[in-house]
Amino acid sequence: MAAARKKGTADSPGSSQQPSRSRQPDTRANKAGFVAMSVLRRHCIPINCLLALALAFYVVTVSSTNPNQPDAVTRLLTHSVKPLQKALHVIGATMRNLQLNYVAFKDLWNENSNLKAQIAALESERNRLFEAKLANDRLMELLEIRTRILRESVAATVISNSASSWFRTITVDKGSAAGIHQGMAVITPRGVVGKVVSVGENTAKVLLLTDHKSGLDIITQRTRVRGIVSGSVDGEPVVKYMGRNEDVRAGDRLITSGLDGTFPKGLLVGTIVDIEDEAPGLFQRVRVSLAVDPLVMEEVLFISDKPKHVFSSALDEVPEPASSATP
Amino acid sequence: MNVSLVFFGIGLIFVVLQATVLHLASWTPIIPDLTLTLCVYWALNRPRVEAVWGTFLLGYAIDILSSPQPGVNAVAFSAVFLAVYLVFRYIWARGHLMSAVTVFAAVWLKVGTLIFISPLFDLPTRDWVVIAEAILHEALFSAAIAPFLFIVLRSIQTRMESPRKSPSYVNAS
Repeated sequence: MAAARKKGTADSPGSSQQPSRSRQPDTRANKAGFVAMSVLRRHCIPINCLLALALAFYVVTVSSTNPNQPDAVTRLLTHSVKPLQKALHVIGATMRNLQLNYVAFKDLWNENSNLKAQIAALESERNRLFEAKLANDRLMELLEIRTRILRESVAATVISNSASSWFRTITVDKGSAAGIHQGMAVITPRGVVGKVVSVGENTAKVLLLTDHKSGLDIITQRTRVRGIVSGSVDGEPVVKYMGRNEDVRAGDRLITSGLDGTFPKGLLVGTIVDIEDEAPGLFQRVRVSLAVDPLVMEEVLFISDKPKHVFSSALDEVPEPASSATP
Repeated sequence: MNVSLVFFGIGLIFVVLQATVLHLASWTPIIPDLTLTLCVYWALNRPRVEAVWGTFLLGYAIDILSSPQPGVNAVAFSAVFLAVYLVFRYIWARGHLMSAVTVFAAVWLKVGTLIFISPLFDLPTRDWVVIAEAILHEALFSAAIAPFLFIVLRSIQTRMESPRKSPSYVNAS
């Protein structure tokens, strides 16, 4: 069969050539089509890119020439992406609202913090002013009593209390440099405090009336009975040397007698709170509540034994007489 | 699922992010162009016909959201895709640095195309220095993000294109 097939093909060359002649244009067309297809296939991406570019340019051109009336392609694209556009709009609006809420919350937070800080500052300022007012009141009282007492006086501030439970002293912030010396009387507008026992250049130590070593000559304001107020170890001051037949009772006010030469006469020392008649001995035991609580003092006044020079400043300003200049 | 479809979905998410969150997170009005970075990756690593039209549609989506003139971003994105495809068809350049450089250049090409075709910057007083600074910032932001974005996209593409093991193969093994 193969030989016959060979023969057949060899015997009839014309029959084999004739169809090939008739198919030649088709083959060329096929070849051209094949080439075109292969080119298209090889360059399909650039071609598609160019198509996309052309479409985009078309959209741009149409939208720029007639922006109010989009063409069919633009309408189609717009219509197809409308759901996406809506979704994007919703998401964008939500995000914007979130941002606005966050900003509002942040503003509120900052405002709250600022207001809290302002409240704290105002509270501190109010406290400071209140303290200043109290200090002013106390100093006014001091000033008032200073003008009443006709002796030299120095005001000072208490800087510490006693560090020992066996001694009742305070330390103040002024010393010999301010004119304070040992033995000066120490008072407040409420009453007597004690006496200076040691003086430094800028500090002074005051022995309080509550100390068991202190003693102060007093009289009762009502009946003018004399006695000595002294402290005790248990911290309760008493009046010593008050006779059993003296007319004293609880509630009597005790004032300084002025006989010790240190304290001016008439300063309030305290009040009698209790009298023990059954106590043995010649004198009755009188317990006293002092007018000044030493634990709450802040400012004190030191009183000198020298009389106040009322006209000293005026005398300082008087010019020297002219006769002193001439020999 | 088709990789191109997934990339297109990611591109839409990037468009949303660019329209919303990135503006909130950025301290400047300039934000990185994530969508363009995706299109560059698409042109570099999966250049198909659907990638071309996906890029076109993503550009058009940006037009819808932000452009006063529809089609300009579609033109710019298509031009960038074509340029990246033609250039990297003959150049073998891969790596993080190269991706950043490509995205950097792509941003310049995109904005250049926008300037060329659109009257967007056709102002009476053109402040080209300001415009150039803005382009530079966007290009730098996008280039800085590009390597990380390329890693993510590559992992997605690799995971989706890797052949799945058939049950018979699993049983036989």
